[in-house]
Amino acid sequence: MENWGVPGMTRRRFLEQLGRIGGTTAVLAAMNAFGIATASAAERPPELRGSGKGKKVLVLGAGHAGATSAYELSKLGYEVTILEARAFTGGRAQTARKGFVAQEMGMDAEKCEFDEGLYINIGPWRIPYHHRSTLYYAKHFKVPLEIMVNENNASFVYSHKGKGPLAGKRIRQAEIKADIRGYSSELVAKAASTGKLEGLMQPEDKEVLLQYLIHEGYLSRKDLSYHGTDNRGWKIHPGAGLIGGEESEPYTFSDVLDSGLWQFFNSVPEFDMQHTMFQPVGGMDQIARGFEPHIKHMLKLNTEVEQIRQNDKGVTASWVNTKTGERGSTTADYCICAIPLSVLHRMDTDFPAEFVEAMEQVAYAPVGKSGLQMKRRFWEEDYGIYGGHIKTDFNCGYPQWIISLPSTGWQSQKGVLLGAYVFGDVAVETSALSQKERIDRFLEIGETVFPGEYRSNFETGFTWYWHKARYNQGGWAEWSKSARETAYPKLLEPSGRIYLAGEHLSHMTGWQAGAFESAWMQIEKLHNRATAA
Amino acid sequence: MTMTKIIASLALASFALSASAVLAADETGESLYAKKCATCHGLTGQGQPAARPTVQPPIPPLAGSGYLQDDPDRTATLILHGKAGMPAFHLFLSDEQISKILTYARGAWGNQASPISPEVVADARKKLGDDGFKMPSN
Ligand SMILES: Cc1cc2nc3c(=O)[nH]c(=O)nc-3n(C[C@H](O)[C@H](O)[C@H](O)COP(=O)(O)OP(=O)(O)OC[C@H]3O[C@@H](n4cnc5c(N)ncnc54)[C@H](O)[C@@H]3O)c2cc1C
Ligand code: HEC
Repeated sequence: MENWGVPGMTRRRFLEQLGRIGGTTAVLAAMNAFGIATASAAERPPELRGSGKGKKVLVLGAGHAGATSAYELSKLGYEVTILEARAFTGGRAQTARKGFVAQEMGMDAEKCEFDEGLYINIGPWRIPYHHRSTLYYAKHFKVPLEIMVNENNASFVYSHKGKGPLAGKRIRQAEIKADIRGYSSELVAKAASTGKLEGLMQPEDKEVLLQYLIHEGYLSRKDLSYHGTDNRGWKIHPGAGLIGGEESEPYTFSDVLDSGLWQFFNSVPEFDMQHTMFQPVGGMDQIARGFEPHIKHMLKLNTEVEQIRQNDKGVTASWVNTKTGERGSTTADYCICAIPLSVLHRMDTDFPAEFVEAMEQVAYAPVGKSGLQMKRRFWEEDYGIYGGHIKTDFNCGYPQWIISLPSTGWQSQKGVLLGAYVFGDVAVETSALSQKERIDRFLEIGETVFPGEYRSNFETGFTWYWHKARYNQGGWAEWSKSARETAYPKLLEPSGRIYLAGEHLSHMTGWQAGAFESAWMQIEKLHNRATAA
Repeated sequence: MTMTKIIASLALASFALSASAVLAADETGESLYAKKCATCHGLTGQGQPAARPTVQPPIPPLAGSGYLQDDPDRTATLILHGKAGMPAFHLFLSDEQISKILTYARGAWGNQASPISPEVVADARKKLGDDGFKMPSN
């Protein structure tokens, strides 16, 4: 056992002691720091002792952060009321399917007309294997998961901005990956074998490096050159009898470099994007549906909070039922406010000026998504692409417009693909268009990659922009470096009897895990205080 | 935090500003405003109306806005840095584009404030340094 610099202090003892001081969250965070796991910091809700009986908690917003707070606190005996402005729970975790109606500010209501069984996740859509809090609730509520194909070598990349003969052509990802790494390995191998790396590495490592480069780039041992590999795909696929197959030919190094298509790949994808990636069967909103039976009795839907007031005894929220016009107010000992800061900042509250100013240091990202129903799964039938993303350098806010293919309903007749996932100024600009114009713009992009196929297969679409959603006003919180240091810590602390929660109070902004784990963090603080008295 | 990295390297390393942050010859303050602001603040600067008299408009009008017409440095910083539901544009708009938009909005719909030069925006951007937001992806 390692000795942690203190006589008798083993790692286990250290963790036990930390648990006594900082609670389970601290232990789990420390375990990660020790490299026991590389995953989100918290794995399960904090283990809280003592009872909340006789105390009231008001939860504002029934997104994941609000629902989690309500569910876990009610288990401890607190009397919880949840006020939710929308007609459903889950907040951003929404799935558009037949009959789903939504309305952006300044737009007509939009009704989803997909065929029965087809859907698009207009908010969250992927759950990385290391987001253990999200996986915890999926498992807890028995929400079945399936694989979300987030990487697919058979899928296409497409560059309209690149130069040379590969620009403006759809190309299989495997071909580009094999060629760029093959040729790069060849260069380094030749440099190493002709003494050009002398002084840059230990001489005894050179042989191993050469072995690695041959392995990595599929180089010929004879001349250390890259002549292609059948792993990039075949010209003629091997078959029965005399069909031995014909190897594909690599593109030239400079054509691949000129094309810019290498920009879509790294040694390993961004950590949050790596396999194993999951999605709930039937849509991301299934996790919210999991909470519902357990929080239904404390939940007021269609109930928009207009005003929040507090004093040293409690918190009062004044609300209006947007369907019936009924008005009322609810008072509790404590409040978990799980409303996005973009919305909260425009509400009538009595937070101290310093707290309000801290909220102003965050900015919310404009984001939009669009699902397009195709009458035939031509990407599967004609090209053998099952899920994953077609990556292009059209501008989606940054130069990586993806068309994402459904990871469900394999080989069925129709499918809904993600035709647009746009950010920043492109999200702002396209959101100014009418529904019809938006879809037309998105079809135009798809049509360049699948000429003659994309538009003609299109049946109906659904588009949604989060910055135009009244109860969100943005996709997710963006913290600048200095705001993280100055404003963010202020919002982590309660303002009087009000605790904020939501993805914005995490370092996993824009992820459901951020919402779940921020709720766990805040209910632990609230409970410790409520039971200390 | 991790989700911001890859796109940050795409958006920041290879492109100082996003693809559209280059002033096209025919771009005016008015046409830029229509593209980059009007979806939220309305073509005539009217904002998004309050659902009922007991709440604030979710997106404030710019016609008659004191915030827009007062301190040029504060307004330029707001556009670059964002504020709650107001997005940060520092990755998406150049100093010249922001100057054109603000000069237009400060003189439109009855507003009567002075133009804002690209230099004022550049100064505000300099103060932000590399503090800005990175492009996220999820
Ligand atoms: C386009 C997009 C893609 C994403 N992709 C992923 C992904 O792939 N994987 C992933 O894990 N995460 C993803 N996320 C992030 C994830 O959706 C969020 O982090 C998470 O759902 C936020 O939960 P929350 O509880 O903090 O906020 P919300 O879900 O926004 O909940 C806030 C709640 O407050 C309510 N509310 C607002 N105003 C009032 C009021 N006045 N009175 C009462 N109630 C009010 C709202 O209606 C809402 O229900 C994505 C988000 C977006 C927008
Ligand atoms: C996604 C919607 C959205 C877009 C796009 C947007 N804004 Fe805003 N803007 C807001 C919101 C919301 C606020 C209020 C923020 C707050 O204080 O809570 C705001 C506030 C402002 C203010 C301060 C107004 C006041 O009186 O408080 C100015 C000025 C402004 N925006 C200018 C612009 C300009 C110029 C553009 C285009 C470059 C733009 N905005 C684009 C949403 C938007």
